[in-house]
Amino acid sequence: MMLNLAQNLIDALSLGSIYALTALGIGMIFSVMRLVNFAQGNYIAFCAFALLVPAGEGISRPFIGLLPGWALVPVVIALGMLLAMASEILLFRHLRGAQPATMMIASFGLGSALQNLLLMLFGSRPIAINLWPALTQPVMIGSLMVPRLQLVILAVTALALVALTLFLRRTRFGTAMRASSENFLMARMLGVPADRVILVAFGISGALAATASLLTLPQTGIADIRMGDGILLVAFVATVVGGLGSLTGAVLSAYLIGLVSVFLQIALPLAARPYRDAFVYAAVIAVLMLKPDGLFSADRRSQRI
Amino acid sequence: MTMLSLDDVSVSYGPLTAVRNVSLDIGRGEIVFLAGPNGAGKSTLMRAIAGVLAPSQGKITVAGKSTAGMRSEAVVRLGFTLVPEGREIFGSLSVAENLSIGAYLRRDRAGIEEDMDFVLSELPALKPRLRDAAGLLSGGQQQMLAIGRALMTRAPMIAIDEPSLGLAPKLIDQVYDILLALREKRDLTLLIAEQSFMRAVEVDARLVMLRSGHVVRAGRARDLAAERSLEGSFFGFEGAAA
Repeated sequence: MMLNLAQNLIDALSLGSIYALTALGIGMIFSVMRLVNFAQGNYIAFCAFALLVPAGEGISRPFIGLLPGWALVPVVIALGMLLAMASEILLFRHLRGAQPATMMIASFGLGSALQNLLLMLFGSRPIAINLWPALTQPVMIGSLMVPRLQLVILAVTALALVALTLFLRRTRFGTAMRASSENFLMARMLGVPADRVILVAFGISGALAATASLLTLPQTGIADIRMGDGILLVAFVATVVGGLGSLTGAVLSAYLIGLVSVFLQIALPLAARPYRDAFVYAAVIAVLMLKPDGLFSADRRSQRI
Repeated sequence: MTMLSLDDVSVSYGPLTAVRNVSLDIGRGEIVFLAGPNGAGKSTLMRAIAGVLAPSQGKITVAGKSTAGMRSEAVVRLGFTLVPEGREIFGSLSVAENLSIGAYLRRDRAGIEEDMDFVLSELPALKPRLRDAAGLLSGGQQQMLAIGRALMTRAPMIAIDEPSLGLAPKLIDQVYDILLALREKRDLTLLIAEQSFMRAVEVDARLVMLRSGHVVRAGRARDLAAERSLEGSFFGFEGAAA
């Protein structure tokens, strides 16, 4: 029983990690420009397909995917950053000063365009990708059997969170980003360059999307043009539950949703399990009715990363 | 040397014109008060100079350079910074971080450290609070922090929008004592907006009175105060002003 619990906890944390990375990507951009970028999920799918050469319906022909891990990871992360930064330069920069709703709809448009681009190049059928098969081998921790991948997911996410926190807390530019997310106009009046702050925020969110993509692929084994959609939805819900604009809140809520999902899977009667997500979202609605500003927004000062 | 020059400047919010045909020259080291009731256009004018709003007409020149088409992050490079109404400190950042953001554009490490020491010696209330979140400071301390942050930019001209807002009279005196001392030590040019013109009279500054976006009176505050019509200009009794 204890073993089961520990196993489930690791499941929940690794699921929550993918959500957390994506929620952080949404939160980074929201905090500096009040834009919920719904293309974040499409960045994830894009990074997965970046491993392949277009070869028609359902055929897998690895391209970057053939690179050894030490080269593959930085290349995919760089591609994710480039894609996100390009969407800022080519699209969102031209919408400065537009209503938040306008920017949000533009992000839907961008996401749809990206998805259709992948559809055109790779077709609609999911494509099998055999990325790092060694990662699916389990390791024994005592009498606990854990897939190596889950440990990697936890470690990589922890590393990303620590790196981002250090960047935001300990560097000049990170401090300027935190100042901008609190009061962009004032930061600009002191000389903080608005466009660069936003560009860096997009770059970070693109890197986070690439990371989420590389951590999801070995588990699912398939690249699917819709693979980011489900993650995006949960991550978006996490940013709202955490209190939009609070990065810490977004991360904690992402893990919370991961935990609730996994434990509902165990606790629900068999007949109700297919409707697990309905229960998760019912809990989300209940939370938002009780705390409309999100769980972690009571004291914004201490909640921001 | 002229620090700031406004030439026939008008500023509009859509169809509403908040500042009309204002012309004004401020020399280096001068202290000028913009006075007028709520809605007179004081904040709008300051925001236009800071590059937050684009004037609909006229020309703004800071330290000899036109700010036309410039964003606020470029205007501060010319040597003008604004302490806006309500201070706008970064509440979630520490006091020290707030000050360091003021020095964002600077690369001279030694100079920044020197200025940090200078700010803390001039504004000693901030010293014990350096590590605290700025949002936890009292109103007076927040005003000090906003002034200190502006000093850290090293801009020779600082505009302050209603520094007395929400402060107890004793604190207001303290803020002004500090501002005047800083002006001496740093050869600062100050543009200060207040609803009342009394402070301008007290410190014997130049006074520009705004009402409904127009300059209604301008000159040495003490000379203007000697005229009985000053209250009339302020409140807009045209008969009294005539």
